Amino acid sequence: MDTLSALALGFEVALRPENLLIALIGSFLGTVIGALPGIGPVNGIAIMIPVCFALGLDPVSSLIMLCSIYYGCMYGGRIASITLGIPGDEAAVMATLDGFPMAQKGKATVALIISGVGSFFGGTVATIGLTLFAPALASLAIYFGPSEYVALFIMAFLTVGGVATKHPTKTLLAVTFGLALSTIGADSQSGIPRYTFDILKLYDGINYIVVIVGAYAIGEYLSFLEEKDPGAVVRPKMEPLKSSYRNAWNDLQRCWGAILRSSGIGFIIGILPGAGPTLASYLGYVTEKKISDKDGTFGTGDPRGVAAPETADNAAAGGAMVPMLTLGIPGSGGTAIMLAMLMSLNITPGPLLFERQPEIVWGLIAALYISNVMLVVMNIPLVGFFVKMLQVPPSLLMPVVMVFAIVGVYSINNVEIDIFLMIAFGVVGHILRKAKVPIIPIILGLLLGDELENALRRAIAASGGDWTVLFDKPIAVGIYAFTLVAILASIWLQRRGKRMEGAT
Amino acid sequence: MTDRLLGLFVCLMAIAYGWVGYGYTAGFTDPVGPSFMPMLISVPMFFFSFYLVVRPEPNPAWASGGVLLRQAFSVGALIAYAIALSPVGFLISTAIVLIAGGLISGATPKKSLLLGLIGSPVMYVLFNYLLALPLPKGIFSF
Amino acid sequence: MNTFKLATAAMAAIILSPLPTSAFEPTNVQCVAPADPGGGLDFACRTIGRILSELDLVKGTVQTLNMPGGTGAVAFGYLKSKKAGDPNTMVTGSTIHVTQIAQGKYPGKYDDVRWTAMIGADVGAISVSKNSTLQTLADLAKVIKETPGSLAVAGGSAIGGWDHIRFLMFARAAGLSAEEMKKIKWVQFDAGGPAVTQMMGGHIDVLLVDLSELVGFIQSGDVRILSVLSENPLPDPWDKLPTARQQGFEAVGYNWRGFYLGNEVSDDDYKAWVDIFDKVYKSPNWQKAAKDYGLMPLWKGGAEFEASIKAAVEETRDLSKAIGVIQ
Repeated sequence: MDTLSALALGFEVALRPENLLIALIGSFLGTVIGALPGIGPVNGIAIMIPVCFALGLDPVSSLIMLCSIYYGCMYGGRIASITLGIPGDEAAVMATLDGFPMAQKGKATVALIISGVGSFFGGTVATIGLTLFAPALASLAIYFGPSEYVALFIMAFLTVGGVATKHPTKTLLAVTFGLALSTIGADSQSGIPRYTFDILKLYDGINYIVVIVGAYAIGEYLSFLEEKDPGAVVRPKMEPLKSSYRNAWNDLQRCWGAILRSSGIGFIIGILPGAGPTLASYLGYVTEKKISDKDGTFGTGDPRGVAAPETADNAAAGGAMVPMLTLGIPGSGGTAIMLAMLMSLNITPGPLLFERQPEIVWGLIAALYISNVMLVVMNIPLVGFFVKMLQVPPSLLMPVVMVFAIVGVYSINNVEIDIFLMIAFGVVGHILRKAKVPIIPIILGLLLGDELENALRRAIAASGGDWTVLFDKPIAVGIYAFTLVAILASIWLQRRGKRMEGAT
Repeated sequence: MTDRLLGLFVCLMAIAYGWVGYGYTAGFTDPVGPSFMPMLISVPMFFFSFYLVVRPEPNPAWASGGVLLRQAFSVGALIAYAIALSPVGFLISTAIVLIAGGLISGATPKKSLLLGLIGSPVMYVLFNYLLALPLPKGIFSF
Repeated sequence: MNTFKLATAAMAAIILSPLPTSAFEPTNVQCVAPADPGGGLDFACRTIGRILSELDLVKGTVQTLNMPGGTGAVAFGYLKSKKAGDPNTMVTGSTIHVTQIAQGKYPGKYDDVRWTAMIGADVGAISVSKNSTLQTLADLAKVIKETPGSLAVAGGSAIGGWDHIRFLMFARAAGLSAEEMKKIKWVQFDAGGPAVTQMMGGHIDVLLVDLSELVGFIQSGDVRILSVLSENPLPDPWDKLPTARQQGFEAVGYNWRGFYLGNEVSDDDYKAWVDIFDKVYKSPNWQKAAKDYGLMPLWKGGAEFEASIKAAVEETRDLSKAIGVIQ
């Protein structure tokens, strides 16, 4: 099937009335959830997962829902970043640098519109890239035997944003913790129960949805309680809407260069394993600063300083879908959680997905195009409405979110132990977050640990106990070499970025 | 101190994890065996956590006093909710947990009460009729 | 043809329908699927629930309860400890579960529940890649008899699981001793799809999974079926596939889908359920649903079903002991 006809099939799926409606609801909910201060895209998807299960949607529709929520959260996240200077997650930090000063100058709406347009371009460029590159990558499937998969998973673990963060030891510790969690349950090769302590429910292993919802929803609640006055209502200053459109249009003319460059940067960073939207928005910002900050206006409310990170951020989010869908390796937190959702729907992402369930992959890709358009159309006129969302007091909202999380998780398997596990992971997640141990590597270890072990044991079982099979395949060796280069490159990029920042 | 404690705890966990993992055996045509992976994981886990003990980073600001109490209360409320959900039923237990949650989160008593009394039936309708989730009816099951 | 089937079913329904005054009528039935939503066992519950309502065989609703865990052990334990006497709660079972029971991995024995009926089955198939030098089952038998460790055999179950056991049934029929059987390399996959791709790439040599998992690959010509493990040749369109028996190897391995009830359900209620399943089985609704899902309609009910479970448990236990999976 060539790409165009496959894409046509996808649009056929995505344009079904019910799926359009789902994309619309998802985009809207995503923006609303993302707009709440402190809740980023990863939390947003985590909170919405139980709802998808509860709705009993079929796999394509669930995915469309989650993806539009994911994209919607990225759109919504910038609202809090810009108007309040509170980033919803790490990737949104860069948007505050120029966005918040703009808001303080009374140009919040302008900044929001610019970032909306940038997000749309970044997201669309990335989706086009996904359409072009993913099938080519997927067609390599047949050459991937167990040894190659071992190499692939090792690459995923070693590059999980880890080396590029401030605390590489803690990231790698988090990976091992996730891997350890993944060994709980009946061993899929021999059937022997491991670390189950005779609790039957644990024979199937730890449900990653429980971990995700626990660590993000409950963990978020506990962090929220530490804020000084959690009951306070925030009222950002907003200028009248009408005059902003003209200003936004004028400012946009200066931003096209930044938007185009950042789209490219973001997409490439997104594809690379282990370098997600955070690094992309960072690089987008510092590159643009290097190229266009002639008068030193960056950091004081320059619209290009809003456009660049926001575009790169969304482009990377789309780019991260490439390795997630074709290889089953997520490149960002959001895609890691989507991978978990896919796996709970009995869909195994990876090369086979394109061959065996084209309607799912292409329906999803088509839905990405559609929800991008929906979001930009929805966001520009509704900017004022979404800003109002910020005024819902979190002290009333958070308890409702908790009930959603608990009832949703309970409805997946109907066992109470899942709720207790979820609360426990919420407490653990909160403690780890305080200690600056990242959560995503834990999820990644839990998700892919099984796969790594299975691939390893299949390779050795098929070779009859000969361990050299792991290293005598050219593709496997190529992946190990690439891993090394990727690690070195991300360290270099990080340092270079810091230098460029420091130079001005 | 946080890092040292956390590191020490994970160190001990890694040792216990590896020790238990060492004992798993499967007799048959399985050259790697079920104990390999746990042991492989426990070694880096031990070293990374040991590194935290030796080279800890500065302490994060931990919650204290009232905030800590609030966090403990909220976890307690959620656990109680999970236990009560089935025997007491969705409507009553949700109303109570919402009121408690509102109070713990810092909303005024009046608002919290409204949240519980309005939120619970609204969510019941949402879950039961729109999402078709079987909710426990509890003491209303007649 | 369809009208005829419909008429037969309608007639059967009239003849078999119990007298309304005396017989047990299930009300607000709960069907426990020991799996996540979306899998084969979940399908069985939801489809049967739909058909029970369509045929008006139960009062009220049929609700599917997903209860994954321990390859069915959690659902088994739930029925045994909490719903043993409830005639309105049933659990979906399959061959895979009986294998687990035989190997002592469940909180109980096979006769701790009442096996009610099986209504459909998938059948095991031994396949190779289209490029393989093995043409017939006899070729394969010769290779594994002479050099048991030379081929990497894969399937959708763990060591000692149902796919592995089914392959060993064939190996035993090919004349391998228990020691020789232990030398066969077994590579586990979670499902047929990924395993076939691995076989096409030459990473494994022989595959044993359910036939329904191979349909797409047979049509595309990527795999060659050496044999299916059914008692008799399959119905059209699979009637050309040779069975192991036809090639002189006594190996039969279905993966059936059925239902069981709690142990304290009364004989009358149990019989009523067997009759109900009989009606479901004969209905065109089920015949069509089964075909759409790649299952063959296959019926065993009541005492006949219980006897076949007993025999299966004993055979699996023997084979598992022989190869050392259990003591």
